[in-house]
Amino acid sequence: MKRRPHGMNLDDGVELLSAEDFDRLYVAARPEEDRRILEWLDDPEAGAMILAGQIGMGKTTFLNKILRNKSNYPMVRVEFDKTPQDETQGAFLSILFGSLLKEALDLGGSFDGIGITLPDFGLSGSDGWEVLRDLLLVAPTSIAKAHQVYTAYEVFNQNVRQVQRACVELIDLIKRKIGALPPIIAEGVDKFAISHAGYLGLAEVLDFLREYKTLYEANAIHLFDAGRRWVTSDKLFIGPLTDETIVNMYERRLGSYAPLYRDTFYLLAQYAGGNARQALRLLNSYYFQRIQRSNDRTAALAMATHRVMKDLLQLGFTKFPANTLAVFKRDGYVEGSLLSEDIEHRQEARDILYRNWAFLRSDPVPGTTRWPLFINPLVNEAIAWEKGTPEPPELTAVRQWAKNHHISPMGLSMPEDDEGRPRWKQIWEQLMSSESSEDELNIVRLLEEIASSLFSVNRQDRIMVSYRNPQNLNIALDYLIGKASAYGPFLCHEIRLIGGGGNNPVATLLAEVKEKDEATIYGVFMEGEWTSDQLGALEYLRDRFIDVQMLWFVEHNALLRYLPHWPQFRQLLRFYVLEDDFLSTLTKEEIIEDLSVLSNFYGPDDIGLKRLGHVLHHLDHGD
Amino acid sequence: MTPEERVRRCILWNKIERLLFSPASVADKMQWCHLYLMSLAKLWETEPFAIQGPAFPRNSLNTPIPGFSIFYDLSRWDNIRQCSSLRMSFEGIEFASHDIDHAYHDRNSLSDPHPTGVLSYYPRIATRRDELTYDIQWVLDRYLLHPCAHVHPLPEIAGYMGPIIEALRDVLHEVRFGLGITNPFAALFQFRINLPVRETPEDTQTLKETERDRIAHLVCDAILSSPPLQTIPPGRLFGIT
Repeated sequence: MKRRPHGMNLDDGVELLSAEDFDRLYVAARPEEDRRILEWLDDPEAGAMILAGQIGMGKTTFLNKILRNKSNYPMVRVEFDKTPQDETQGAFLSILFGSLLKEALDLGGSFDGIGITLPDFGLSGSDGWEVLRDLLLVAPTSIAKAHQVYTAYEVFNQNVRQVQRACVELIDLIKRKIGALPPIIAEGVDKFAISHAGYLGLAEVLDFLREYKTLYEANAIHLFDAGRRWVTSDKLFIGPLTDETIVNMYERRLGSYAPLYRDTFYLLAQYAGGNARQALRLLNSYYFQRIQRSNDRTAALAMATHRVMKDLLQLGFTKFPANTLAVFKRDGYVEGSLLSEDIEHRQEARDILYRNWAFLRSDPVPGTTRWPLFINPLVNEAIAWEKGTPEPPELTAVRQWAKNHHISPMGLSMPEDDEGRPRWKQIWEQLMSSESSEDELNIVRLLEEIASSLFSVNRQDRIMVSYRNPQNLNIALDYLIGKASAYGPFLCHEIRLIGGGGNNPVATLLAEVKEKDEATIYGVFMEGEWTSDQLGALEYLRDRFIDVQMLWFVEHNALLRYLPHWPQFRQLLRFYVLEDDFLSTLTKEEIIEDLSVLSNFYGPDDIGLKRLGHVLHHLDHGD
Repeated sequence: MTPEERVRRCILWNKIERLLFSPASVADKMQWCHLYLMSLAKLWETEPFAIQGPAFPRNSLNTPIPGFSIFYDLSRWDNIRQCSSLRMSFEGIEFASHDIDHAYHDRNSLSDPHPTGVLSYYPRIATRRDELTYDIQWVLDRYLLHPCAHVHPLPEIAGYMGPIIEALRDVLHEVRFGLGITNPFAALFQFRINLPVRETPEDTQTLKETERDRIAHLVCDAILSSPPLQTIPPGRLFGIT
């Protein structure tokens, strides 16, 4: 991702990857964790270790930073969340095998007698092991290739023990070459909830890796999957960042403009709850509300918290465990046994952590089993409201503004009875009902909301627009892409994904976005009835789209059904609802001006000109 | 400054205004304003702004200074009596309007030399480009970067408190809005070049000088081209093409 050298670098909280990312934006905040990972890497006798934290705490960025500095260090990186096309044990095992093979090939060596041969996968000896490596690790570029990959997965599924032995052989081979056990970085384990079907297959592979020098990138809830062998590994917990660290992040993100916004940093940080992604989404949203929408500071803060709460947290789409949260809030901790053993409540408690409704502060003090915890500040007020609790006047102002504008049934404002107590029934009703009018946008407002993403080569964001009237879609896309080309030479690549039995829309998507280009906007249309498995695949493969600019369109009621499947995928998205009467605010004069200006730069065949031409025709003739 | 330099810079000043800030037709003005709005985010290194509605004859721009926005209305600039207004708002409240009304002449317009034959004031061919570039930079400095009469936004206006103020004051001291600009396109352009800030006043100045030098290069090329250009296309002026 290109970064601006001096100015603002906002995004929706994606991991930092490049040297430029780290130089400009990284804030070192975890010296102790840093030290422990480095010690682990340097210790030839080290065993397995779990790096665990909740969604958005910055685990991946933290890990990327350390591993970047050790780029010459031999290690095996296994991307469980990026490579597999399936969620079976065989698929995950194939990724492990492929990753070991890759490192072994780089080091050079013979693979005779490892217990697996190329003909096992329909390859000839002359193909070379590189062909098998690529088959297992490189995303297929065609349906035929995908079929080959699935066939390979089946071979792994039916020969688990044999493949495990082959993996041991490869680990030994690497060990002989480098003189020590290779560190194996099991990346993306955190994308798999314990309740997720794919986790069963993955956990078998993770258990196998327990005997080796493995670093698992896991979600905090995995620490409570008692009974799993891999969970008995040493643990390194990644907790919330301090407010000071968040403020430093804000300073870096706003670059030379930071002094102009400094007065709000501390307030935003208070709503971030130490969660890096939540913090960045708040800053992004605040900036938009303040600058593009010209709201004053108080209103911008209220609107930003509302937007982030709706985008990131899965409120309203599932039963909200108010009672359990109230107990958590009262106690300020959660007993480890509640998350691992209590059959009746553990799913609810795990959901609370997996969906970031509450944040673990740290691991338990030695000798105890209590995990210190606090409620996510964005939902805190709804859990157990305490009238009279002192708060800064700015927060009171924000709350009052939100209340006056009816922007949120949760967090910032709540229906209260005459005595100032929350009206819980009304709150749940509001949560389950449709969105507030703030969420429905005409096309001009929608453009305003997404312009900074769509028109910038400095960002690759993903927007999901839901609609009630499918006839709106083509003209909406024409308008948005036409407008984008007024800001630069953007291309639009349209992808129609049909869900439902017998289809594999996610494989289609992966094949279509293979060639990533910062000047391409992918217009993705979700059609048909997507199944749980198909929705789940988007969930765990979400990082495959992290550097792609996407504009998703989905029917509104379908989106409401799909959202519960995406506690993680939704973290990459912002959601908007397209009004039925969405063109009413658009003027012909604006389109004519765009066409006139663009025609000076582009030829008549330019796609932006054509798309805006369609819009003008639509405004003229209404078809 | 020698008397010769005074004269040639005065003529050059007018030439620069013609080249950069005098779009002739409605279509030219539309294009100038549209590309102006489009170019802001790139120079400022901020998030791109969506342009709402036609950019000409009136629209508004939000600036990186929170709460500070500018509305411009050029609808009467084509009238015989040329008028325009640039209205500045903070937190939605209009606090100043930079009105330009050519029924009321300013002192300079009484002796407004027509910018013909600029090159005749630079007779030494060997040093012409250097002298011309130096003078163009000199004019741009006084026209746009640091106009003689200017106002700074003060941090107090935003209600900033305590120690934040002093840090902001240094930054905002590099933001200068010229009061004597009588061409609305130039008045708009000065916002473009004056609003981006950098970490230090020195860095901010460097940024502005870099942009000034880019424009000076365009102007110099236009004057020295054969035949001399009458206007610089806005795509080039705003660094888009």
